[in-house]
Amino acid sequence: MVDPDEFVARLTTIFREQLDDDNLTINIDTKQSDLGGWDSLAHVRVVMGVEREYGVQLDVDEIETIKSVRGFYAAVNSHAESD
Amino acid sequence: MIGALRGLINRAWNDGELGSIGRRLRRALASDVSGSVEAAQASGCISFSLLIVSTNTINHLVDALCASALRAGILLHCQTVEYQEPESWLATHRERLEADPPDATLLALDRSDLQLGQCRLGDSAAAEACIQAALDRVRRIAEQLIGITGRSVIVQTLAAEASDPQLSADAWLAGSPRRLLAEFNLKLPVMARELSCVVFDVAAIANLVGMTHWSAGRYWYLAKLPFAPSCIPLYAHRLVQLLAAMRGKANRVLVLDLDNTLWGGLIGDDGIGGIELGTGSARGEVFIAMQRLALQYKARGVILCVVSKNAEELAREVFRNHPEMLLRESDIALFQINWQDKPSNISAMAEALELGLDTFVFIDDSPAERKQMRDAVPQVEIPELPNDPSAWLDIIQAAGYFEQLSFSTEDRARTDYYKGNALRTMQAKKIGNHDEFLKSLGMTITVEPFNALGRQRITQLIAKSNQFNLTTRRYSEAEVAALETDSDAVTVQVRLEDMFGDNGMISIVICRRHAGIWDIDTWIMSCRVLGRGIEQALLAILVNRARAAGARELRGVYIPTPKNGLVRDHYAKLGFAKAEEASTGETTWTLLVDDFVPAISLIDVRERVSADA
Repeated sequence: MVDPDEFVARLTTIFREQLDDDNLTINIDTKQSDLGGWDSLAHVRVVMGVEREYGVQLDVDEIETIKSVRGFYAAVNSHAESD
Repeated sequence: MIGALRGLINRAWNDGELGSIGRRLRRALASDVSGSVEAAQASGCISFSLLIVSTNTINHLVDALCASALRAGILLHCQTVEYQEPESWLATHRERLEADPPDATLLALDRSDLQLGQCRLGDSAAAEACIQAALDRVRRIAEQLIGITGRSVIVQTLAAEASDPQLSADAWLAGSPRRLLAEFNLKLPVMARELSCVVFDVAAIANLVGMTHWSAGRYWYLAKLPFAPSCIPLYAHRLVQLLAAMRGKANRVLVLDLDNTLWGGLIGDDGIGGIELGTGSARGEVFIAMQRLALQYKARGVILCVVSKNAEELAREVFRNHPEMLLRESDIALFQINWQDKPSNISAMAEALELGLDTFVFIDDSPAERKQMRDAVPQVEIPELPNDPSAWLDIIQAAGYFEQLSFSTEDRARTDYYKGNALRTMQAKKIGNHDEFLKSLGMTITVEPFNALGRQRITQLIAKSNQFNLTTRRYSEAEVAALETDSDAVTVQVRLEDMFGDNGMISIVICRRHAGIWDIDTWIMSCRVLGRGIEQALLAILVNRARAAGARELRGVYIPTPKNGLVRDHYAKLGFAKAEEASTGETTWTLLVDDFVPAISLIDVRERVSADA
């Protein structure tokens, strides 16, 4: 299991980079609808960042259904275990 | 800020790192905190604006492009148009583009835009029509772009797509996606050359990494990314190489080490019979392949040089007498074989060739030599190579050094020109008296207006010349073509021959006519022929023509750059009077036609006035 606090910290860095906002903050409960800049292309950029960071490859349907930080956390965990 | 990012960029090669550097760079460029743009320009960076027109996603490339451009010393301003039909976008944005044209436009169309995926199988006529329709569409858009912007247009070849069958049958089956693509990719560059467009061979990059790595896969279905994110750095790097070539920043000199770089083993220890080279060992084959690539580059105009810590005679003997050696002494413009450190040797070469160190690529098997060179002369490009030389070619190929936008006969013979120069230098030393020496050269210049025959070389001189270049104004091939028929412009291209051979086209001048005054817009000369009185001879021709046309005054301007200090006093030396001096160092000079006193010329002039004489 990836540590949830550490995950949020690393994901924050990715979000800040990909959404080009150095002051952006997220927590484990942040949803796509909570962040203005989290549109569909930003979503794909975050996915690219997560895949690079954790060395995993998410499935296309997973990517489409993830709508929250928790969603990313669950996806990374399931891949980190099976990969 | 930009300086700091520039320091980082040579260590950033994956798309994540490039992305973050690119983002910071774009912010720095947009806000221009504490004049960092000016500081970057003072250290030799140039600005370049690029418009990318695409029907797919392209914005995600911008950060990586800006970051890669910085590596080449270019401050890139990138504007993108996504998900739009180029024709309709151009129709609605025409005026804005005309008012503020980008330096270049990249037309990034894909297969579905060009309807090259769907053609009746086995029907060659239909396939032909399909390819022609695709080419016609690219032509229409490119022509429109050239018409509107008057600047360079870049077109791309097409990479295969995941849904293309890759069976052996597709190699011969008319109308198969692979055949359509292959034929389109052959014909597009030919058409692009006719239109004076620049070709970006994306298909070659895709082939280099292989379809499996190139394909965007999930990212295409999710977000219409044209290729895999992991290929962004390579795509960006190669596109930037083209932009750099447009601005005279392409590499032009390949400096090679000898022991364990051009052959296996140490010539000093192993002797000519003991080194590994050619058939007989796998390593020997590797070095032959390396030499073959070097010769390929040479044939395109790259100047080959050798720098090595060795006894010179021993090392040269390999070039003369080793039966399997492909490179011969005559292929090498300069040898620096001695026991001095390599950075001093390479700096001496730059001086002798009169080329900037940023045009050099250095290949050496020794990590220590590479590091010393990198520390001492960071401008030189130095690929980091693994111990096993059999992996080198892939790395050197991917780096895409020596990009070129055109090819002229001058390119094929470049090493000879530089060698001829060395011979002339020796003759000069022998004769001593400079005028006597010039007379002994028996120089003839041929002067004619810009024409289609000279167009590529003229464009090349405009793009590449940095030192003997009064205004450093860059014009695309399309703009050069337009000058040929512009009645308000007076253009000359100059070729030089002497007893040591044909020097090729060595100078160009563009004047713009305004009521009684000829404004010298551009004056460029190859540094190879400095000090031979060409400028004086050319001025006499210009003055005569201006007088005949009823003009009373020639006006010239010098716009300083970090590289053209050589010609700061060009107009003063030619007898012009300084009319203005701006705080930027820009100076304006005038010469009254009636005041002109011709210098005694040691050059024969052959003049052709009409364009097609």
